[in-house]
Amino acid sequence: MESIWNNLGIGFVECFKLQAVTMAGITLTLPFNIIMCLIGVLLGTLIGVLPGIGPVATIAMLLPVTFTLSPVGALIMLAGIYYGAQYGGSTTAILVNIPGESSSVVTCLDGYQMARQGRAGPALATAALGSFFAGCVSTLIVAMFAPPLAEVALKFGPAEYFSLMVLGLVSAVVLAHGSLIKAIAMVILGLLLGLVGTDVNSGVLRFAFGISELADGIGFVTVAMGMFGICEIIGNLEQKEHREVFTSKVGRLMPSKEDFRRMIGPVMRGTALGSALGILPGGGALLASFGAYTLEKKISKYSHEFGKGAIEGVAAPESANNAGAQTSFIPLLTLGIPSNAVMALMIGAMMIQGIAPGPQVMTERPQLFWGMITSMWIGNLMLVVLNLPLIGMWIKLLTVPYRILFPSILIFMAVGVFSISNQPFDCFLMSLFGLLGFICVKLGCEPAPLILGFILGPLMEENLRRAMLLSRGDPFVFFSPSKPISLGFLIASAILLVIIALPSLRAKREEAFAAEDT
Amino acid sequence: MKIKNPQDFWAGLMFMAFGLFFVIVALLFYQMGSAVRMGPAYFPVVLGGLLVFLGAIVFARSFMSQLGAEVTAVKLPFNIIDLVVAVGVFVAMTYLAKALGISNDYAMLASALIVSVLSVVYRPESKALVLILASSLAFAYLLKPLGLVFASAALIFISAYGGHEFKWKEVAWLTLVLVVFSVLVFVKGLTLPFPICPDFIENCPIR
Amino acid sequence: MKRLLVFLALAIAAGTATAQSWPSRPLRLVVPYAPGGPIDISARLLAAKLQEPLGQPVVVENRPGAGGNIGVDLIAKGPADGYNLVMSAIATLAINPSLYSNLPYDPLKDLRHVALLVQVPNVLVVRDDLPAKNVQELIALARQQPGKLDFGSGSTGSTGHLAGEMFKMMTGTYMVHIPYKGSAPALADMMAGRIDLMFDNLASSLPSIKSGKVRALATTTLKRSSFLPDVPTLNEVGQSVAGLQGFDMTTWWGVSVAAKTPQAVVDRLSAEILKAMDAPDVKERLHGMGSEAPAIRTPEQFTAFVAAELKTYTELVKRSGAKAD
Repeated sequence: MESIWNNLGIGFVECFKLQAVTMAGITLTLPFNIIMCLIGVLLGTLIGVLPGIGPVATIAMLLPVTFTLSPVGALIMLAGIYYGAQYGGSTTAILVNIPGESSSVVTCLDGYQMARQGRAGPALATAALGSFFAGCVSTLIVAMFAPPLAEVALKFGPAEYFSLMVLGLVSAVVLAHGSLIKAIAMVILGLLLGLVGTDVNSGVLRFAFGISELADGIGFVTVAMGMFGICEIIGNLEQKEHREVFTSKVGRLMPSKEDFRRMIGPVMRGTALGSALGILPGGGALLASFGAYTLEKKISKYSHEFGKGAIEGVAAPESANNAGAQTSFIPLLTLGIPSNAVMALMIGAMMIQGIAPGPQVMTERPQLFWGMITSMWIGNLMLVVLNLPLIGMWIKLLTVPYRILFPSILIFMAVGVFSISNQPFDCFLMSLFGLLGFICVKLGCEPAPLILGFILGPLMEENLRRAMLLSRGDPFVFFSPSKPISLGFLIASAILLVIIALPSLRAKREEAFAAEDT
Repeated sequence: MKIKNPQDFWAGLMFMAFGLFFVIVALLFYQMGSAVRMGPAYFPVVLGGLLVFLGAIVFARSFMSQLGAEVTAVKLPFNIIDLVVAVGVFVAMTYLAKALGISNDYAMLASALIVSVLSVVYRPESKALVLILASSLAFAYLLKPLGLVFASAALIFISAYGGHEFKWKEVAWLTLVLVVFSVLVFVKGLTLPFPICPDFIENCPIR
Repeated sequence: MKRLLVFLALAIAAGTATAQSWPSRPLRLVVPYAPGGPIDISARLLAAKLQEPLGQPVVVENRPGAGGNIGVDLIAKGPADGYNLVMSAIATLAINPSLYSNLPYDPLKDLRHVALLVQVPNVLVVRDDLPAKNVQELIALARQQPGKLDFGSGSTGSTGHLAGEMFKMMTGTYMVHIPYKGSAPALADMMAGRIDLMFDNLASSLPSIKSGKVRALATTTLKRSSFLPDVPTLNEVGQSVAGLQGFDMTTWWGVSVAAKTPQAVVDRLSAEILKAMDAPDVKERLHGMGSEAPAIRTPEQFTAFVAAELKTYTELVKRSGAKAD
């Protein structure tokens, strides 16, 4: 234990270290790394708020700038952009129903409803505070348990991933609050849409019909903007009566005592789930956020409120996704393996600086390792200090008449989607998905399960086929006792499925009995 | 048989249509492989089949009365014929562009324009839907030829027209503010490679 | 009438002036991949460095899609005025023509190749507990149990995949190919022991080799890599093992322009790019990616190199049966 405090001490010293910085001929002595952290989280929040433009593109564009900076400062800034974008993404999810990151999709469900009811303030505050708590706890976890957790991450092979995703998909069905069968059908439709593009295992281009822009599949941002953003705007404009979307009767800025009381459990559970799932390369943080939502919905006594503005529906996924964001650094810092595209960029940044990422970073460059970890905590602190006062500003923004608000939202969405590959085609796809979303909502089908199926589908198929390749065609590889993790997830999925189906089965039986009696 | 639940009726049809589409395309073009060594068609066919099955259940269910369930009529601001016409316009314009040898982008712009005008004139209830979609198409396909300024103006004007009220001065001011913001944040700040001025203006004052 | 003549004269002058005063407006460097990969990073390094000598900014534009084909096609079919450049690589110039059935551009006829930026060897890495201490033992192991060993790669048709296929052909062994989405997940699975070997590019596996998580058995170039001086090349091994002689594969990328770009522009571009690459800071950073300074320095050498690679890979792809659509 002593060594932890020792190490954290090294980290803090590194963060606050005074360095001589020369700019425009003037040399100043500044705590450079902290300033980098601040710039990073500010930038991250900004791009998180702007729909469509994500941390990947921003970090890539800033990489040349980092060449001139010291390695520690550069990495601290880039990390700040990453988790800052998580905070910013929650803001758009709550305010305008547009998920900034894939893990903010779930926050849209209840967060946006809260905003429409005039409770945007408590929603944003919950997101910020929940994220801060999660950030603190998970940073501590990273500090203390990084190496053993990394070993656990390595144990996840294709079979385990597949089973985890099956569990994730079953939970996705729980997200819907309407018809169960239609929710399952939407998940499957999402799965199918996710298959468009190049198949990893065979290299074949599927469902592209010669359109070369579809060769890499349909982007998540495109679908999210279309089905959540555009669909929502059209839905709002369609109302016959001119009613302002956000009630002008804006409530309090901060959560009430009741809200705080309800928040505590979900935040804790979300943090635990997020920290655990974040270490898994590839999709861990996303699964964490809606796994947390599903868990809360099932165990909460306010579960009927979910989907209509339950505060647990914001607290749990926000904590989960921030915890996941922090712990997703573990495979990078300990093994040199990136968990997602942002981490891959960080590896690039490290290599350009001449640092070889891997297990030796911890021992050979303790200042870098511990400096980054402590900067993550400091960054979270900065973010909550920044975001809480901003809530007042965001609320003011919502009082702007909708006829001025929606073209602004539209233009940011269009710019964001266009900048994905600098092609008009993606905006065309976004419009198509907007139309699809509009039709689905009219038909009583919800977009959230579709988008989750969309993200998980290709991953599921990739892992299924890879597991079968490796096992040379043995389908029992998922259930085998030698793979306890995989078996465990599949059993959990089965149990969850039964739990989900039970209420509606019971209701049908009661219906049948009632019909018999009359 | 009376349709007790129109939402389920159309939803079921939609799911079956999508499911069949994926199954048929996959079977026609890609290899199934075996359960042991799955080919690229395996997953789509299985999932597509499942979707058709679920769609059929939802479809069948729409004819049965459901105790206590909400029955909402489906109020789409357009009907199937409108949809077919809109798709037809796009397809026709694409072929026309190919025949004339001009870029497909202009076909998309023309189709968006035609469908927008048609909807405003013949189906005013679909104004919001069509104009919002058309505005993002306009932005995307006008960005390269006309630059950020005009593409944004197009998007803002067209989408504002799809709203409940449209005041010229207000929209003009909004356009100005948003264009300045976009140029500062996106082009200067984030260095996104968007052209600001139209193609035919050689030297843009802002770059 | 007089006004028309003046206008004509000005137009002609403007026309000739533009040709002589290249560059008079910003250049556009298309990266046909999503931001963040090694090609994107080198492009941004280069763009930043070229701004000063050229006097105009070089704007990097990402145009991902179809394994790089979309971006390359954009420049191949675009204006040949010297303002449109593309990062071309082994995939888009040498492999994709045979991997994809209808490639929209011809790598030799539609493009002029200006400068080769980076050449990175691939390295044969195996998982730590594989009972083979060198290439000969690996071949023996593979021959004992055909179809038992798994080799991973970053994608079907990548250099890692094709290197593996070449190895299999030359040694007459059969190993199962497991494709991944990128080398990182493949490396992770190898470290965990789920796959046995990989022909990964040096930059991505160097950290793991140095930390001892995986073992390097050989490199794929003719000369030993300065990063791994103790690791033999497959060519060296080929002196004692039949079939592996002459094994020479690298991953490479460089800058190309449309075919009809004026020669003067191509020469100036080539000179400036070479100067940028020789700058110590750029050299150091490219070195950090595993690259050694390429011996190929002129556009003509580059073009000849591309033609040779195209020939090699057309043959290899056909024999391996890999297909992308």
